[in-house]
Amino acid sequence: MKSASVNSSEIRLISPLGRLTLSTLRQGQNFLDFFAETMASLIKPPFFFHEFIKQLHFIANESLFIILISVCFAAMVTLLESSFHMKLVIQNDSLVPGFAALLIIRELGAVVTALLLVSRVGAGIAAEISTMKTTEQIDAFRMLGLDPIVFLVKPRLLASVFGTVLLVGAANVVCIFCAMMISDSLLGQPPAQFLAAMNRFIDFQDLLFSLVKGACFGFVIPIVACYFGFGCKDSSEGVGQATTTSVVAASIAIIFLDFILSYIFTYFY
Amino acid sequence: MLDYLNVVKSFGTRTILHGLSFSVSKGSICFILGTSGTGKSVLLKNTVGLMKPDSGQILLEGKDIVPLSEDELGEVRRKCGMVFQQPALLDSLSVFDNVAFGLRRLTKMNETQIRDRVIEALTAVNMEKILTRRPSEISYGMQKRVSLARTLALEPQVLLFDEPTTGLDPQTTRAVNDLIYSLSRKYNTSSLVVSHDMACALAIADQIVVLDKGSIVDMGTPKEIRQSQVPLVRDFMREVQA
Repeated sequence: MKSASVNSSEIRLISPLGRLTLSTLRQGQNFLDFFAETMASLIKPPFFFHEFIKQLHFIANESLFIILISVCFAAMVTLLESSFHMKLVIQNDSLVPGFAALLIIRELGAVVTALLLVSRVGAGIAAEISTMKTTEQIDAFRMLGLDPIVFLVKPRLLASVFGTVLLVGAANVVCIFCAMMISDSLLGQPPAQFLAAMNRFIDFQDLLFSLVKGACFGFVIPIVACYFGFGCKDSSEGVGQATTTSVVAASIAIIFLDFILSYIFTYFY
Repeated sequence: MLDYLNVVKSFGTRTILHGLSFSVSKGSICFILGTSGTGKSVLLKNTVGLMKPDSGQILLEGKDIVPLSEDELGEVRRKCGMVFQQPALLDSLSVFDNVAFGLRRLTKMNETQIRDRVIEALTAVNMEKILTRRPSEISYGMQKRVSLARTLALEPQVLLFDEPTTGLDPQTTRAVNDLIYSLSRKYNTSSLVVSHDMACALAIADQIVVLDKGSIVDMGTPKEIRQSQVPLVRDFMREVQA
């Protein structure tokens, strides 16, 4: 009798864990199926060029201002904090421009841009797709012989990869410019000295890696957003839930991917 | 034309359709009635492969559509037009382009033929004067009529209506019901209509199927349904008499 009650309490403890494991595995399998379908769609005609341009405008053009403003302040903070710490440790901040520029190019430009895009573009895509699902527009596409992955996911994916690379490039330039201004006005190191330090610290491959990071992050954002959008429950609550979950999942994925890519890039030096 | 053989559909542990079997003959109008959540819309989505049943067969002109792939279902979807519960129009396109969308994708018609067909379909639902308007600029009832025109434009052999008159005013409701009737009689189109409207079903249906909790509780001609002793059917009939 005692052993039976122990067993049932153990089962009560284990069963939620089992359910969670099974649900996670199911989600993982569904995501892989969706990922494979999306990859296959890249080589499947037709290509909706107008939709691609529309998405590129939404992702790159409409995000440009907010991204440049944000990365500009992030770059200035990076420079000031680096100077503060260098002075604290070695009482000299002459190496700050080089270090800060390296940090901006290798990390800040791409990651801050991607995280801002997750909250603006990723949330927008997830909300749009999930609303289309709840209002049966996706079923209507299928009834009209249109593959929703080809029509909805493919243009967003390509526009996001292309747009994020462009934005990361622009963010890097603006970051460096702002850092140079702060370096001149607050640290007393003129632009010539800043550029010389940059020249010493930064290689061409740093710029390349930054753009590769941008492309990878640009790939993750619409994939995650569309996946949660398509999987949304048919209610307004479901739309909100899909949007929130997609932002959280994409943010975590970007931070995780940033670590993986940074680790891989160290092998190229 | 359309045969359902022991169709079962579940979501997780919840069974929605419990082995439904019935047939819709060519040119007839079949109404599916039942309370909300009994699986009526699920049945329609299974009919065109938007969902797959767990077991059973759905035969369209004698061919089982259940095992068909997404590409193979294209032919089924060309034969069956579906009017959704929601208007499901593309927000970024005008009314004209929404109706023309399927014609451009699924037929080899030229632009002049497409224009004529679009205007004909929109005229059938009294929406021929709003060609350039966007879905967001017209009322919900108008959107539903445009959605109906989009389906009609493809001239399907089978029409599936998911609550076609919900949210429409009485005059438009009557017009939509008349349209379903005339399509069936004039073009020999088979119609499967999911509805709560028993009065309309009694007026125009050739066959009525009453669902409760995913099972058929009664089925027959309007005359047979009027004499039914099934409690759910009696409830529907009381509302008609009231």
